[in-house]
Amino acid sequence: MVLQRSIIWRYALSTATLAAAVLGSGAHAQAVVRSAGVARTSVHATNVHTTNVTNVNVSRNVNVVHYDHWGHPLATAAAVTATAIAVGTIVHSLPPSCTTVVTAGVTYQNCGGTFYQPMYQGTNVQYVVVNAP
Amino acid sequence: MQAFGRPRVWAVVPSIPILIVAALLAVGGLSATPAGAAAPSSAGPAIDAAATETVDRMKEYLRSLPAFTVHAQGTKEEIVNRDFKLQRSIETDITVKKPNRLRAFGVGDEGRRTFVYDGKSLALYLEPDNYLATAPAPPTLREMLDAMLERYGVELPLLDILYVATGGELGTKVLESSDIGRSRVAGVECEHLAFRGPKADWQIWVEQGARPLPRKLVITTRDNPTAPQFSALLSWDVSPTIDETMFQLKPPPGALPIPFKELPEPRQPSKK
Repeated sequence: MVLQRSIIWRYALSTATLAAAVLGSGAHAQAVVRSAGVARTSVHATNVHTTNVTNVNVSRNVNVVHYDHWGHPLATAAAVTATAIAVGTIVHSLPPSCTTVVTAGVTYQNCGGTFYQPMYQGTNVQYVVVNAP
Repeated sequence: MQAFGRPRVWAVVPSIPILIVAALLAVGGLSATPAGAAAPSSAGPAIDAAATETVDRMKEYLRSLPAFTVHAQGTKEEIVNRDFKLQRSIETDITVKKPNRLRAFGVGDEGRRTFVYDGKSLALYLEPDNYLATAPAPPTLREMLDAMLERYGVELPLLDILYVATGGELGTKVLESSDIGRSRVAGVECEHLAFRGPKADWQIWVEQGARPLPRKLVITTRDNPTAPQFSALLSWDVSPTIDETMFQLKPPPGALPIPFKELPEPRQPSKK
């Protein structure tokens, strides 16, 4: 009986360590991903190589914080002013205080000098950092 | 009376024989399952003929309808906080008029989406963001559903049902299936069917009687270790009142134009 309990304990410990290493502590909100995945809403789409299954934010600038560990969008104003965000960075929520600009039939969001172009990725909107239009 | 006692050595030595037996039982699949539970490793055909027959009847009925409106009350699980399965809510109304008209309106935790297809293009309008995208589309519903999926990764709501109802076959290989038995959904007697595919499991509750319609749909995502589920309760109007203006999108004048992002070209076709 003692041996069985110690096996369970060791397994739990190693799993927790692995999870902590991979995901980071939930306490400090450095997470750039909103979620670890979302349910598929169709079987037919499994035949296509879509990226709709996971909602992972492919931000290349890991200093731009977007979501807390519950999936709430976080204010990124501080990060925006502190560092220039690389063109091509993709985010799923905008910093506060953006101005909408429509040029040549294309919409841009101007957030403190950084221009984001909204586009549908599947049926969700993502914003790509672009050069000023 | 002399105290009966086992030799002390049995209490000290780890009970290895018990662990070995337990391991063998687990590997051999002899762990007890409740009587009547559908255990995939049990004897019998992997594909249940009764389930196939019921699904075929459902497909035939859906394909016979020239038009329909379906209302879905759904939940979609999203994994946050490591392994917390948040349930996102979504309510959708879809009107289809074959061969090439569709309007879908979905209200969810992540905004309100309107899809409109008029045989020439598909428009997607998102509120409250006020974003509108339009793409040229093929001339029939099924082709449009495939084109939007393959080109932009745009999955219309209740895609499987729309696809089958407009003549398509789900391209997914069914690894196993089973007719689970009778089940009641929203006061209606249904046949509960279960299907296993390579990346997803799905369950359909098919209404008994003259209208073999899907009344509930559950999809379990198996290529995510936490296996999040999508679940939808469906109600139907199989002879809806159709007005052609339903299939014209009338966004507000200041709607913001955005593009659909194209999916990267696949290196090889994925047919599973």
